[in-house]
Amino acid sequence: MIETKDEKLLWEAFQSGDEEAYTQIYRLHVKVMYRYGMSLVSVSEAFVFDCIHDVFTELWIKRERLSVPDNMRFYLLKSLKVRILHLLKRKEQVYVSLADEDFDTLWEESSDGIFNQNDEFYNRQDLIKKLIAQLPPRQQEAIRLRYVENMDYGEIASLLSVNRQSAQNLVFRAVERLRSWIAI
Amino acid sequence: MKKDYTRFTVADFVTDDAFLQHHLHPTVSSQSFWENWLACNPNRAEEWNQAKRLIEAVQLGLDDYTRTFLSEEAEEQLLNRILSTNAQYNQRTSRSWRIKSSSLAQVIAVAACILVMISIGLRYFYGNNDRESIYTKHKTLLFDSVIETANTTSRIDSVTLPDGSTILLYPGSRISYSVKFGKVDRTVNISGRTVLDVVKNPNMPFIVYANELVTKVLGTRFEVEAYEDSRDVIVKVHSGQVSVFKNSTLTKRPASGTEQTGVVLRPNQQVKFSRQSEEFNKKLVDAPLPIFSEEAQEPSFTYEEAPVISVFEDLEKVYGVDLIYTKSQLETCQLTASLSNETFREKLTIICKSIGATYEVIDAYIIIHSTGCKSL
Repeated sequence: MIETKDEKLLWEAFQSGDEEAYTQIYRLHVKVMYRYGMSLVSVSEAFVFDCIHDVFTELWIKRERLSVPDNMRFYLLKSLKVRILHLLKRKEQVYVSLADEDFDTLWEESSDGIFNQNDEFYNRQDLIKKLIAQLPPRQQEAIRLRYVENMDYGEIASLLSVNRQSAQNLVFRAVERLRSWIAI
Repeated sequence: MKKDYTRFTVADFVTDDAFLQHHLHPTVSSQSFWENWLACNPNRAEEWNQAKRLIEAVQLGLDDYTRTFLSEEAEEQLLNRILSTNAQYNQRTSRSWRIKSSSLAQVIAVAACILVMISIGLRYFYGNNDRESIYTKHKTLLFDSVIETANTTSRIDSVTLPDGSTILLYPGSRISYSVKFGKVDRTVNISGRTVLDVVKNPNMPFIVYANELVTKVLGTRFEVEAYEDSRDVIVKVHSGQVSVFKNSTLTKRPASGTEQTGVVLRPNQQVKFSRQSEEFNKKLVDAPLPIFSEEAQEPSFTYEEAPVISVFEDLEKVYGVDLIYTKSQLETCQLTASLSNETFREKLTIICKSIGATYEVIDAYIIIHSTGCKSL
């Protein structure tokens, strides 16, 4: 984990046109951007690459006008998501018309019967994976951001375009559901 | 960390930023904080440990995500692609370098600029001219004696043509036309981003060449974005009607007739032409604006128990968009609202929310999904 102070220096070097600093920022964050991008649009790796390309080239063009982000990783993930949604606008509009709550309830109903299935789970990890896959997509995204990318609720809220409380609720509901299913 | 954690349940812990921050990226201070806290609150240790195990379980379940693998090769390839795009951009900006402040950097910049100029000049003189731009090709093909304006400033420039049409030229954009413009035809050739306000003349259509596209209009206001190095060409219509088609062979007279691939655009519609796949993608502009019309006065968008169908008709009239809905389903729906200050999208969202409907935009159409309203 790189220290925030170094991150700032690196960013400022990049802003002054240092291509090496820029490359270093890319190397530090591209893997996380890739996995986040792939989790949003798993169908096309090429599309995710295009979007990452666009985010970084735009950074380069605008570098002198940018402010130093508090959290570079969050800043890059947010830029990536904005870019992806921009290119997928048609799909995004369908989302907008459904309130988040509606969307979650849609999923909620379908995921109850899980224990009625006769699946034999090989081990605990498979079970948890299967359970997570049954969560509404927004809850899945929220817990990935919270428990893997270590984004705080303000950042998750921004990435999911909801308020802070809703972001916290998404994570809370997902974890509560998992807890009721797996014995801790 | 001044929160009172003594009443925290498992659920509170696993959704607490500070608690999670510690488990994901422990620091010396967070370590000592929690050790100390656990020592003082031994009766809460069970909750705390359960929360910890729950986090670990979730992380275990997210393992597939965490281990999404990006190969070193792919990482390197993408980096190269990014750097080469940047190099192109650097070259382009250094050609039209703006002198800003007096410093050593400026001297270096000017020197670099001169070097770039020389290298461009050399390439020009020693042949190898196959990368001539479409814009230049068009220019020599279309006009005998040319008038050309290029905007090398950082502000939007305005050009007035002999017929009174005005053109806004964005930074880095250029336009050329014949000295005989308006005598036999009205043809312009552009590169970059422009907004064209064309004076109506039914006898003489106004024709715009922009990269691979030709846009034909009678009189209207529209926008063309056709940068040399961008992947798409975009045409957006503000008012009037335009037809856009592909100029496949870069000819002087765009083939008229049946075989053309192209689209007709109405106000608040745009088309994006992908230069690679050569596909037209027509859709609604992101933020539709009211269309000016001389005759009818604009509806006030203030409604009291108005049938929602008439509200939709107002939207269609003012914004020139097509809404698709089932009339019979919406017959009983009514709306009471004041929507005069909202944008088009806001209006639509509010209307749909209040009658329990949703909408989606497909191509240039807006489709209203509703299960109807209960009659009163």
